[in-house]
Amino acid sequence: MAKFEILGVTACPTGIAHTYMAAEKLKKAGKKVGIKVKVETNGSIGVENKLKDSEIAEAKAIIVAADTKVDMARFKGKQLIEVPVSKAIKSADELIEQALNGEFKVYNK
Amino acid sequence: MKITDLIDINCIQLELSSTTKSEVIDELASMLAAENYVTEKVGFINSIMERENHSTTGIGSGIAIPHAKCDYVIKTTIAFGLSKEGIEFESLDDEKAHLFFMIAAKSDAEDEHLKILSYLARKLIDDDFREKVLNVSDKTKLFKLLEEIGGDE
Repeated sequence: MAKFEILGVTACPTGIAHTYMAAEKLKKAGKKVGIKVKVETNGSIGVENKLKDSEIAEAKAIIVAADTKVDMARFKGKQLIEVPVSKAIKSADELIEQALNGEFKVYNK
Repeated sequence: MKITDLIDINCIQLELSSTTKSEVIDELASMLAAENYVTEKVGFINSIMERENHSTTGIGSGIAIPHAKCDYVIKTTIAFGLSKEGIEFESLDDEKAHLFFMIAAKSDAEDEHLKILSYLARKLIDDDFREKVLNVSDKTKLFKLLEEIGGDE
């Protein structure tokens, strides 16, 4: 199975729109530069496309675009950025570029 | 089930008369209230505004999707509005919004409905689709377009 270079997690308060739009934007932004992005959505339907531990281990960077709490402990030691969900809708290309350039800090909480 | 199952032809306005954010929210909510999809317009609008105050649903590229999931909603429904002139909606890209999808979801909305709403949200990111919706001239054409949205995810 091809590995995902970048992973994302999206979540928003109502969980019926932004969660999915942000996910779509991140995937599209990845496609543009030829990389595979998997995005876990934490919406009103529940968690979909849940990130596997092996995928997290292999990924270069993680983008958490959420306005609500998501499970973060699993990302310890990974290059990660936390942004509001709207940021992923507005600036997905930029986030992907930063992720690929290794510009995120290592998550260590 | 399709997205068009959640849209009532009486809750579509292809020529919105509103010129401000609060007006357009009222105009869309009024259609939902008139068709008895929401019990109390004011309460429903408050829920919509609560979401807007958290962060705008004017997601840029001319689209706004004000939405609420609350007890005032009797049946999960989408109201649709189009404004050729555009309406200031505090959008993420500071541009006016032209396309409005107001989503009224029941507090205990069925997963099937929520899934369909998520397809709509994803589809709105598609530039071609957006362009087509912006140029619809009548409700039948709009329904045809929306029928494209399926569970292809």
